[in-house]
Amino acid sequence: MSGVYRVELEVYSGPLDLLLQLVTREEVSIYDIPIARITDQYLTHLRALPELDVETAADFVVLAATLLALKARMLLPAPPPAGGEEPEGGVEEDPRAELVRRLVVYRQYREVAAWLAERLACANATYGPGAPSPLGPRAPAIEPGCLSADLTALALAYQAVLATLAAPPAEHEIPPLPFTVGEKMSAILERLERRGCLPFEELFAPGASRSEVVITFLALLELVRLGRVRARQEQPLGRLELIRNDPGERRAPEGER
Amino acid sequence: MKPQEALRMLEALVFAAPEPLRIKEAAEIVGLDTATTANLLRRLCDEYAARGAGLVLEEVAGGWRMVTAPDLAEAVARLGRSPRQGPLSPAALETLAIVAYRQPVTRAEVEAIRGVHSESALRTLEERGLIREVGRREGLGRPLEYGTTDAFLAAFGLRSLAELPPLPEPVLPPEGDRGAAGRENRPETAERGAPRCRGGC
Repeated sequence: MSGVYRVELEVYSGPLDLLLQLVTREEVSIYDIPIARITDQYLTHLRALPELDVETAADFVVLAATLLALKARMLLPAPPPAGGEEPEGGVEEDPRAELVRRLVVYRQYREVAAWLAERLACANATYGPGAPSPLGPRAPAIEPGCLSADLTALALAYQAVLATLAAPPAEHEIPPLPFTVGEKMSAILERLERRGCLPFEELFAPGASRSEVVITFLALLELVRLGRVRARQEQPLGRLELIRNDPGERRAPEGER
Repeated sequence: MKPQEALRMLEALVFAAPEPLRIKEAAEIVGLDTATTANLLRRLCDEYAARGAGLVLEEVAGGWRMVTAPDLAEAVARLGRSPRQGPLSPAALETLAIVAYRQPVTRAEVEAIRGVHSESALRTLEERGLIREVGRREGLGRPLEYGTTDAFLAAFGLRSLAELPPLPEPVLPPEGDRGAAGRENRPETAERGAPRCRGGC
C-alpha cells in the first residue's frame, strides 16, 4: 500500500514538481525564491534526469529558460519608473510574481493529489464485488509516453494472429512475395466497402502464410495512417473492429490543443 | 413488511450487487420508499460496525457496497485471487486532482497548471474509467472537456464530489502581494474530509 504514492527524488512529475521540491529542500519561502541559486540547482537536476520523451523534456527546458530569464532580470537594476515619482521598489511588480502564482496554484493540486493517493490506498484495502473494480485489471496499464492505445491494441491483436502461425522453419528459401502491400490495401478497402466493418481477425485468410499476414498488416497500418480506415474497440482489450473512415467524418487530429 | 425482513433483504442485495447498490433500485425491489430504505441501509451498516464484523457497508457514489474491512486487507490479499489495480503515478494523480476540482476542464487548462504535457496522463485516467469526456468547450478549436466519473467516486470511496476536501488555502506571502491567492478555492466544498479509512458509515 505504501507504494501507491511515492515522491521519488529522481523522477519528477513535471518541471513545477522539480522546482517545488528544490524550494522545499532549500527551506526557502515560495514567495522569496533565491532565483540564482534555485536556477543553478534546477539545471543540475535537469542534466541528471533520465531520458525523457521529447515533449516532457521540452517542458522542463521551457521552465529552465524562464528561470534563466528571471535570473538575468534580477541581476539587472530595475529600470527607472516612467513617472519618476515612485521611489524604487514601489509599484513595480516582482519579476518572480508570475512564477510564484503558478507554483502556488500547482502546489494546491499537488496536495490534493496526495490526499487522493491516501484515499486510494484506503479503498484498495477493501475487497468485494462492489469494490473499486473500475481500476481493475481490465485495462492494460499503458505507461505514459508509449504508443497510443489504438496502435497498441493493433499490435496486440497482430501478435495474437502471429502466435497462431507455425514457427518458421529453421532454414528456408525466400520465394518471391505473392502479394504486395498495395494489393492488400485495395483488398481491405474492397471488403470494407461491401461489409461496412470487419473484425480484425477476419482480415487474415484462414491458413494464410506468415508473409501474407505481415503484408496484410502492413497494408492495414498504411490505411490507418492515410486515414482511410479506422480501428475501434468497445472496451480496452475488447475485440478490434475495422471500419471505413469516410472523409467527412474523419476524426479531428489528436494533436489539437 | 417487518423491518427485520427488509433488513435481511437489503443485506442480501448489497452483498450480491456487482456495483454499489443504488438506494432507488433497492427501494423498488424491497417495496419501500427511498427514505425508509436509506434509513434501513444505515441501520444495517451500524449493525455491522457495532459487532465489529469482517465486512463493512459503505456508501459511495450514491450507492451502498459491502466490502471486507480495511484492516483485514493483508489476510484477504493472501487469497491471491483478488485482482488489484496498479497504482496511479504522481503525474496521473495530479491530473486527476485538477480534473476533479476544475471540471469540466480542458487538456490545455490541465497543462497550464501542471506545466507539462498531460495527454498521456489524461489517457491513462480515461482508460481506467476515472474520467471521461463530458463535452466540448465553445470557442477556438472546440477542445474536449473532461470530468470525473462515478467510478472515480467509487474507486476513492467518496459519496460525492462534495466530499473532496477544499483546496488547501495557500499560505499567504508575508506582506502585500496577494496575487492569485484564494482565487482557486471552491467555496461549495464544505467540511474537510480528512483522509481516513471509513470503517463503514
